[in-house]
Amino acid sequence: MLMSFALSSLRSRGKSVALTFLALLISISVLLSVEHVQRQAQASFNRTISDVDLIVGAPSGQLNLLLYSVFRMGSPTNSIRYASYEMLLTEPQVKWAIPLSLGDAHHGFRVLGTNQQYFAHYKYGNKQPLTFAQGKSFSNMFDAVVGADVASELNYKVGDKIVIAHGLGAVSFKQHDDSPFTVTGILAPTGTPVDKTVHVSLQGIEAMHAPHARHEAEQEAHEHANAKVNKPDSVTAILVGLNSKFATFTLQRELNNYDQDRLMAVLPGVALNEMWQMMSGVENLLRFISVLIMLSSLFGLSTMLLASMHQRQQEIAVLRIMGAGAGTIFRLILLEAVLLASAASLASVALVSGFFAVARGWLASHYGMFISANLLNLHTGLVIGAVLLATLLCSLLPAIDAYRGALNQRL
Amino acid sequence: MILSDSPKHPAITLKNVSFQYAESATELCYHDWQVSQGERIFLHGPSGSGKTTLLNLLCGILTPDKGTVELLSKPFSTLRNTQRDKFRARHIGVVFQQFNLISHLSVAQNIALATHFAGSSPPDSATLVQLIEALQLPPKILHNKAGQLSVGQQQRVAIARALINRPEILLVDEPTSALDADARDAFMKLLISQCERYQTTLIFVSHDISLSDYLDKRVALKDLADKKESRSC
Repeated sequence: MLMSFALSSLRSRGKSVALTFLALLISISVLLSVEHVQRQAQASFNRTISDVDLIVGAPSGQLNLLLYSVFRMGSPTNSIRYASYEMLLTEPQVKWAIPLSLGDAHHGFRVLGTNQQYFAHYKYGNKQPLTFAQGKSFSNMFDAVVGADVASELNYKVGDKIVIAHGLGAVSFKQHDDSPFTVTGILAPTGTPVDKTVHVSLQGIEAMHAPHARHEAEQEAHEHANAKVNKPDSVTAILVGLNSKFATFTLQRELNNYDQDRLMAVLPGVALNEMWQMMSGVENLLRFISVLIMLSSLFGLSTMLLASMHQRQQEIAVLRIMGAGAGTIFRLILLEAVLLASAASLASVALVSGFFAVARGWLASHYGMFISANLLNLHTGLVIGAVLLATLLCSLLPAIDAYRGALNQRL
Repeated sequence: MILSDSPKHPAITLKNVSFQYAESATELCYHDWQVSQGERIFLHGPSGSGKTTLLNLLCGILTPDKGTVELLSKPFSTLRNTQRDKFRARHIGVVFQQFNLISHLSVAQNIALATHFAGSSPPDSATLVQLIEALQLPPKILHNKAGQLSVGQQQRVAIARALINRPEILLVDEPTSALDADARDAFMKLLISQCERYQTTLIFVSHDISLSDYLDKRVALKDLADKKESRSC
């Protein structure tokens, strides 16, 4: 009864209630988005790389190397010599090593030059290996394996011919028209930047950059593999897996002091940690601002209820003569506030879910962040619980006001 | 009917009651007073003579500073707030001058709300229709929002709401002041017929002496209450 009364009462004060609802909707949405993005971004970064002990590249910041080589973000790093990759393969502690060669694009998707080691050893999430949805790994110099999003967005099937551009723009000036590649495999979705990557062989990358490459390369391929083409000059970075984790620091030190090439080895976990530390200040600031917005809209709710008290003296008097106690009036005001905040919370979850359902593709391609549109988790529940608790506290003032008014009510 | 030799139980008993508003310098002292069950009293007096204060004391919205109010031979003014609210919901009906209903609820919801606070089951539609028809209102009015009704209709619905729990005592404060002459006579007849039907004790407050013909007994408030400058009674 009290519930239907509160609903009817809220409906009867349409405009001020609708505006308060909007204020709550916006502030709860901001709060939920900030919390959701922060958690999802961290989860998405953490799940992108798994089981890699060292990332080796040219000396720059450890974060830059990690971001560029794994997340395809940030500014390109210098290349390192291919000979350094061969050196790593001979190191006894090294279990496997994946060469990565970046710098080209295909319709806005990054092109990654690598070798069979990538499909054998690259892991994401909880040490999950890459799997093929269709086709198989590349065997030929001009074969390509595309990620799940590349295939779905560009509508590629196994056997399609694709053209790879030099440079990173979505529209490149230099189209390597004379170097068409053939799609031999499509990877299963991973929810990592792998989905947005076109994988080709290192030789393919090299050949693409040489003039009239296809012609020469085909000739050479027919002439059973010329060493010059099969061995690229350089790679961007190398992902390394070790036999024993204890060797990590020793090898890192050795590589940093390597005299044949200028190398830097970083631990992905340490670099990620550095990133979270950098981000945490911003995150806390965002959270602080969103809590302030939330509070101000709750004060708005409180103000709306207080202002309505003056119009509602008659209503309260009628309730009183019908035998409603002052406690009932008190509960009624709290109930109205909580109903409004609950409705706004539900609408916010729907709004934020809808937003991320629409924006997730864009976020993934522009920021490499794979944000789930599913907000239904414990953390969201906790945030909404906190919002409702704050609503209760903020509406205590009007409720106490109404309680006192009800006690001193005269007919 | 004469009060002193009424064989019935008292509905209302005032004993040595006095009351003073916090912001006021004058104190209202009420004489000891008894109203028998089923009696219908016309209470009149100029504004400011303490009529509304008496009604507030009788329905327990205010409690006396001194003395006691007993209703239906039970202590009332000394009950705890929540018990007094409960007692009011079950045994007292109140109709004001105006604004007796929750305007955003339908007529049926307004009446159901009164049963809710009394802790009784909500009225079935047959009872509601019967009650509404007895007050000469069309049954379809039950689903209208109270705020959409005319003042005359609202006042009749207010009687329905006040009587739904079959209260022993009905307190009515200037219920016809917003009505024209014809509507006023119709209202009075309905009110009295409903009270007769349920044997309800009625305290009817008005400054309009012409209405006193509808009731059993006329009481002037100046005979019931004294105003004192200080707390001396």
